[in-house]
Amino acid sequence: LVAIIPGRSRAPGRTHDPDGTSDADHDDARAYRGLRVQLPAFEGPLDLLLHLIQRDEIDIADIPIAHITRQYLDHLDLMRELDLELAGEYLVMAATLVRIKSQMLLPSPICDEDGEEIDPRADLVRRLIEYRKFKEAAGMLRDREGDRLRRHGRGPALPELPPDEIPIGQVSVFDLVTYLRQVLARVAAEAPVHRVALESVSLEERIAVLRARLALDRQFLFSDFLLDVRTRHGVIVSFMALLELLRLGEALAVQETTFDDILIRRRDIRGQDRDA
Amino acid sequence: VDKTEMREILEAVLFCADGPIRLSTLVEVLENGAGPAEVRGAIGELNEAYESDGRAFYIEEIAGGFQFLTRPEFDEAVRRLQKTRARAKLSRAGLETLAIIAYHQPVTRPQIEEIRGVDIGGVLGTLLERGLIRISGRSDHVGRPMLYATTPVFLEHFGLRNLSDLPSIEDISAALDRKEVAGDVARALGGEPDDFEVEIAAHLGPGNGHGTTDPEADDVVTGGIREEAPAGVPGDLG
Repeated sequence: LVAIIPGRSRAPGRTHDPDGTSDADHDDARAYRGLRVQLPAFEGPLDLLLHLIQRDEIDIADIPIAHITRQYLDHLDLMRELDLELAGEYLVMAATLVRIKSQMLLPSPICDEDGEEIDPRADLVRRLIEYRKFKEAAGMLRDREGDRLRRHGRGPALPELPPDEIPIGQVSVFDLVTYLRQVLARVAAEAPVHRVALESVSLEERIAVLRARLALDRQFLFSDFLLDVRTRHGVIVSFMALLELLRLGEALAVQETTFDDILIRRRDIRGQDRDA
Repeated sequence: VDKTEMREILEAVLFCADGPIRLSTLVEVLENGAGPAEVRGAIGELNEAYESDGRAFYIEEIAGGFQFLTRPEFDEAVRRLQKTRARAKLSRAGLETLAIIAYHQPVTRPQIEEIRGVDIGGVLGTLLERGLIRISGRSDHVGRPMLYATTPVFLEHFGLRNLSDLPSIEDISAALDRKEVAGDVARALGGEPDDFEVEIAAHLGPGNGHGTTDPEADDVVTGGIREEAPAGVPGDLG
């Protein structure tokens, strides 16, 4: 469990701005009041588990705990490497998964006072099913909200409220992280043999390149943006650059099909949302 | 009671209002002895007339009252006039938290956090600030934690007549089960889950009235004032 304790040594060459002060120069400070853009804050450990369950087409009532624990910890590691802010709840869930996994390995099953066998996963499954219902209900509310906002009442226009979240597009952070893992696996497989010097890529540089690219093309594939990086470090920093522009609301991320390449779209901060 | 005159008065009153007017208020204003059912009927007749005349608006029952709203197809034109962008929508965290409050109210913060599995302090603040929820009292449990409930602003924001306008959580659960079965069948037989959902719904029996994401299930667009129907009445599925 030591590996998942936060605050490990940071990746070299990091120039990321963890305080998010880089948006302080935005011309409309009020619109940013109370804004929370640490990406994973929208989601939580239950959401990550549901994402993995859906991705691997797992029966929620019969979760292969060893597999899901490994996937969960892998995602957590990667999210930490990306400097995404991980709430303590993610670690609590990691501990829960490891505990369930060890209970499953016990030679004799745990029984309740009536001698009935207790599935160590039962509590987790119950929570996932309960959470999934409200996630679905939230989707229903989102549809109703969209429907209502297209119909206008009499009287003056309702005041525009500051957004409490910058839409990052039609993907979740977990979709992005899952895709990144695929890319990293490919990079590892194609590791150059003769390359000795570390590719030095700074986050600022990748942000600048991404901005320049967005100025040129209204949309392009993330894999395109990765064409000129060869190392794991380069891929990670490029991905952080994407997260930063999503965070600043300069770009949107769209996935045509789940678990596929990511389409990056320009988004004008003052203009219409393009994800509508 | 002169029906024509009643319709005209109702039209005039609602025309002047910029928010929902309660049925009881309309009854008072009319002063003609007409009861709530007659007023509701007259509003239905007005809506029928608007629809057959092809008007761009209708009277919507919303948040426990009645209000003129434009039809959704004129959204862009209206926003060009008002020079506003699409209004800020709630975040996913906000929607999930609201969903839990709406179905479990009154509910405490620890109860909500138990379901969502994350800290919701910030989200609660935003929802309170926007008037979508309120503190409705204190629980009798240890520490007497505060209880949260939704407000009329919540109903207005989502275009709901009242809380029972929401599909029941059992319906949502049943719809999820169907989706899952449809996914399994689609994987086994090939094809898209959608191809099988209707048939599976027929096999699993009723349970979904309003449809969670099906826009067709919403007859608000036509402006038809629906009869009071408890959530869960079988709708157009199956």
